Amino acid sequence: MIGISSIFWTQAHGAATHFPIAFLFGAALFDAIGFFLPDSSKRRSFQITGHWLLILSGLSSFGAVFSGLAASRWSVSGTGALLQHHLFAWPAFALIVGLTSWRIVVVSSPSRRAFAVYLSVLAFTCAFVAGAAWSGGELLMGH
Amino acid sequence: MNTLNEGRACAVAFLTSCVSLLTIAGVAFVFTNGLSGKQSRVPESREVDVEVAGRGRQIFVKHCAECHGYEARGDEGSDLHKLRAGDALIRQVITGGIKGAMPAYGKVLNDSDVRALTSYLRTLGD
Repeated sequence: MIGISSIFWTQAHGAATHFPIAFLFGAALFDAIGFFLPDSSKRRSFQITGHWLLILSGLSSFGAVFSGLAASRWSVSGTGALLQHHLFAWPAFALIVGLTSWRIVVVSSPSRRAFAVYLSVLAFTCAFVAGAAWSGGELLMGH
Repeated sequence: MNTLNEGRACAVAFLTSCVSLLTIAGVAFVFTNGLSGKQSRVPESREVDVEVAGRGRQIFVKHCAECHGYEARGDEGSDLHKLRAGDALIRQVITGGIKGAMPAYGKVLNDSDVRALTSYLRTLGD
């Protein structure tokens, strides 16, 4: 694995990171819409969609993290732009995993209050992911 | 019932996050330190050897100045004074290029040349 060019892993990371990003923002959108809809089957449909999108985001985030670590030659911190990227990426990864676990474990429908807290944390996570995405783009393509 | 579930779920979520981060850190540690006997790590020193940087400047003029400008202020290529990447990434971009934007110099420059060039780029301020 070490022998594989880090160029390959950089390209793999570029491809892999877009999945958790898209799934996470999709989950946030569907969950937020579901939250504000009146109690109905439509609300339930939005929340189920959000539920699965978040799980997909959680699963795909491991691929993004793995390829990113391989690309940076297993550096979890680094310097300069890489450090900046990691300062966004690691909290984002922890929050995604945490939120995914929470949604998997809460089998029955969560209370409205708990769901509101969940949405707030999800918004916070989206901000970290956006920061990680921006700093990652700057790291590779920044002028 | 919901409250109980939610409380447990929060605990599980927190633990899973911690375990995931620790696992990732552990994997990174194993790959960086555990394999140190097989692969030496390149120090990311910020100290610049003037002689090496001078050679890097010569390499820059020969291979890079045409696009990046002789003062590395950017022309067809980007302004390298505003470079904010680590040494490893700089070396990676030099050797592998950027698809559609910059050719790869991995077959043109040897490892010593790439390090000298990186060293020179480190001397460029804002």
